[in-house]
Amino acid sequence: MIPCRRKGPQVSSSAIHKAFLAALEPCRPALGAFCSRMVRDRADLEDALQTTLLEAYRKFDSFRPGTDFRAWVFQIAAFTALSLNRRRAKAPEPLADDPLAAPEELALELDYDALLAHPERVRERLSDEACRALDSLSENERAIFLLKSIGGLTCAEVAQALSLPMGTVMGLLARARGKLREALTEYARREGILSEEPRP
Amino acid sequence: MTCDDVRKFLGPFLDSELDARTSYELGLHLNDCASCRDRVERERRLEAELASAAGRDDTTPEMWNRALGRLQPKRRWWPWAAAALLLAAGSAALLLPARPDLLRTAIADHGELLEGRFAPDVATPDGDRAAAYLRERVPVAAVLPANAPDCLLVGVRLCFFHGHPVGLVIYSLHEGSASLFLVPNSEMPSFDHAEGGTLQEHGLFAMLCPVEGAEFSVVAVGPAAARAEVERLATAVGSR
Repeated sequence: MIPCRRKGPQVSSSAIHKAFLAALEPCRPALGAFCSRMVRDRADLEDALQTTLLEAYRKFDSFRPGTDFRAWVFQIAAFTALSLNRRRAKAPEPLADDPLAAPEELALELDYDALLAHPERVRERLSDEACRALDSLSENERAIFLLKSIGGLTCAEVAQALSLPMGTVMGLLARARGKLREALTEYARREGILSEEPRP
Repeated sequence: MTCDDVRKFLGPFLDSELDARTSYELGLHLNDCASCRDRVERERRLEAELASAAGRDDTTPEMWNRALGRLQPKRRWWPWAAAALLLAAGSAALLLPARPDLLRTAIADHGELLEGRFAPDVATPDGDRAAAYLRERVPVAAVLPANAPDCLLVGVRLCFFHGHPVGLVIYSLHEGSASLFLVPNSEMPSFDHAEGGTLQEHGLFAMLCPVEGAEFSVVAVGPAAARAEVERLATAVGSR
């Protein structure tokens, strides 16, 4: 049970401090990964982490016990990272993809089927490639995908965290997944991974 | 439901975001269609691989230590101390038009920092970056102490002492937080207690320390229990 200043008996500051750290502990690996993947500039990683923790700590008064601390703290992390990225505003948002020509689309589809059949072939190199592919997503697409896949938030929680309509979240999530799969398939095809014989 | 429908609903299905009816119909189809069942299972595996790859954490234990070191339990004495200070200031104001006390102002601002009422404008452990940020906003060309294991630079902020701009540099010590307020010498005539000295109140220690050859002075505030570290920090500030 997380103590709260607003309701119930008075709780000491140190108890609240401990409660915050206890609630934060299980979220740490995912929160670190989320900040790592969300910031556009590596130099902002520590800023993102520090600001997220300070903001969450400062607003811990407003956290309602009984609600999901994880979703709450990821909401703060998303807001922090998006603000830092906006401040940097180095790179313009990626332009919308041109629709693929039909033959290309078909070839990609076939290769994607091959990738699906043997995802383990790209596993070793997946991390770098997935991070690169993530970087190519728009801010909202990346935030939504990461809040879902790393943060473990539901679409409703993501919608609330980013103040976006639920339908928009679902649409952008589908688009992000499509782009990631496309990027990985192209990578695997380029590297000739899909034409290798299956490993025993 | 057809195989095409399954592909259309695959994402929401994997996320358990489908409504109950569509989820049920999709489940029925999967029971009867080995090809779609296989497809769903493969998509699930790839999604897990992607999530695992995207979950690479680049933060370091040092980053976490610095971030967590900045979180201080809130001090309950502060509202009372603030009220007492206001009362004292109000009473004094009735007697004579006093200028604000520099060290007390610094202690009050440090108290607000401990209360979490404001955060650094820039959170950084980099002394050069912190100094550059301040230099652009206040006439203080400072060289800030480098990080040591027992004294970590947390960030910087532009502050105002009764409307006068000062630079705030925040450090994390073993015993708590310390603030260095870099006050332009041109602002000094606006304050009492600006000729030097120390003050200890509410478990906090404050000292004014001129910087040789510089056009600013340092007011350092920190836990009284860490007086030596606070003094060391204050005297370690140099000028460009």
